[in-house]
Amino acid sequence: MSRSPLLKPSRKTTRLWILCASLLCLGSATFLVLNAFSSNIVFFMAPSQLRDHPPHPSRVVRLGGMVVAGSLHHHPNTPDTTFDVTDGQVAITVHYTGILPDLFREGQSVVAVGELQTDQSFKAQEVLAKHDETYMPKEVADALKRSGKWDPRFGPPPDAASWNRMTATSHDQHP
Amino acid sequence: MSPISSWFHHYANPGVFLRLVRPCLLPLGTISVILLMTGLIWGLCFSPADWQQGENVRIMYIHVPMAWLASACYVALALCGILSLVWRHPLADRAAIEIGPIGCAASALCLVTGSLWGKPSWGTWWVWDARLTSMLILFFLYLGHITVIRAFDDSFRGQKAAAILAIVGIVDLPIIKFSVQWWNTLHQPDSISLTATPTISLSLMWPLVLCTGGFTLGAITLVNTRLCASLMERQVQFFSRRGK
Amino acid sequence: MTLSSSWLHIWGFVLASYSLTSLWIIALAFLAIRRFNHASRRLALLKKSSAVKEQTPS
Repeated sequence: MSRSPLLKPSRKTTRLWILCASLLCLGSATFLVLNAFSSNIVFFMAPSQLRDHPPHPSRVVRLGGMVVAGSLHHHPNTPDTTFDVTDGQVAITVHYTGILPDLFREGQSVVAVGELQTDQSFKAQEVLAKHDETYMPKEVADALKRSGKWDPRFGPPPDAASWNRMTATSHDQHP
Repeated sequence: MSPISSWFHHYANPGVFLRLVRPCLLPLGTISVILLMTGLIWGLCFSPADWQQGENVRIMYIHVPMAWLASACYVALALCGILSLVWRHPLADRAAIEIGPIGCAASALCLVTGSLWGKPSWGTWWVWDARLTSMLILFFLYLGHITVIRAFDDSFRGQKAAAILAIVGIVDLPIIKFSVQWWNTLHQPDSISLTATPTISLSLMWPLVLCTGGFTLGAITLVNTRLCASLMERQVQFFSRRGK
Repeated sequence: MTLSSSWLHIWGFVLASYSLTSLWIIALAFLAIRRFNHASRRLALLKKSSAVKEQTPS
């Protein structure tokens, strides 16, 4: 402790500065790499992106968007389904054969994995349902639907402040 | 020596640490068990089911605290790394050895419970989206740290390498946190943030808060129990060598 | 067509997560407590014997 810390930095201070400098370098390097690969990290493409930049035919892409209300058709006696996926600008018709996840419904965000056909429709091998950040009890959702404040088929629920104090007993108010 | 630094050195002295922390372990453990039991039973039996996910929403009461714990343990690990590299503090290395496995368990449980939630809800066990992949990287960072810190015959070199690994890995934490905002991911954005009203109903949030508190306190107790045990083992070694 | 909504499907994933987590936590806590008790017992024994040694003149 005889050395003045102002005149000659102690070894601890030197080590601290080296550490800060390397962290700064590492952070900016990571930022640059992530920035450069940003388009590859994106998990899915919106319908309008897919329309504007059509992928190479027979290349597997992921299409993400909302299932248009009223567009869902189950073909009777087959596991085939057809539905439209939209981002608000463009809608693309998706054909899918198989089991849909629990959260799949009209108005839900979904990700379809498959190929864009030449007729601009989308043939999905796999359909994933995307959950949003809203968590609400069934009773609250029912009360919101009954009161006409929200129809799940047409978009996300209203602002959380309007319902997150509602309790599970709120359906008693609606006889 | 500055007062902060001397204060720090006093309380980080292994003997003082042991004397101070050992009596706190039992009360801390009791509180965390009570919190955890209340939160988990409330979450499993009494909180309402979600309108879309149904009963599967209950997995959240484990998944979210585990994700938080995995990140928090990594911050602690990186802090230990800095303390070890810059100030050469012996207690920081002992702590890093004991924190690693706990964080690793938390990240593994976060991944597994997330997968168990994803299968019925999304329709898949696993996707390579930014959130899931960055969490998997965190798990591998923990595995690497656990291995490296024990791998060298010369424990000093192992601790130094592990400290560097812990500090370098810290860049993964903001990627995990903000991945859901920066890129399109299958994983949903955070429901609870410091700036906005939570988009989670209060009846679902209270058990989550209790579980998060319980798991956090439990992890603190667990790490400190292991750390105390490790310091006592050190003393046992010291005493028996002197006795010979 | 969605996945079958059997009891196992509704509760299976929840119960699997809860039991797995409980098992891990109990195992980690058990190991930590055992290690702690073992070390503190040995330390107490050693301290006692060294105190005895110092008291008895050689």
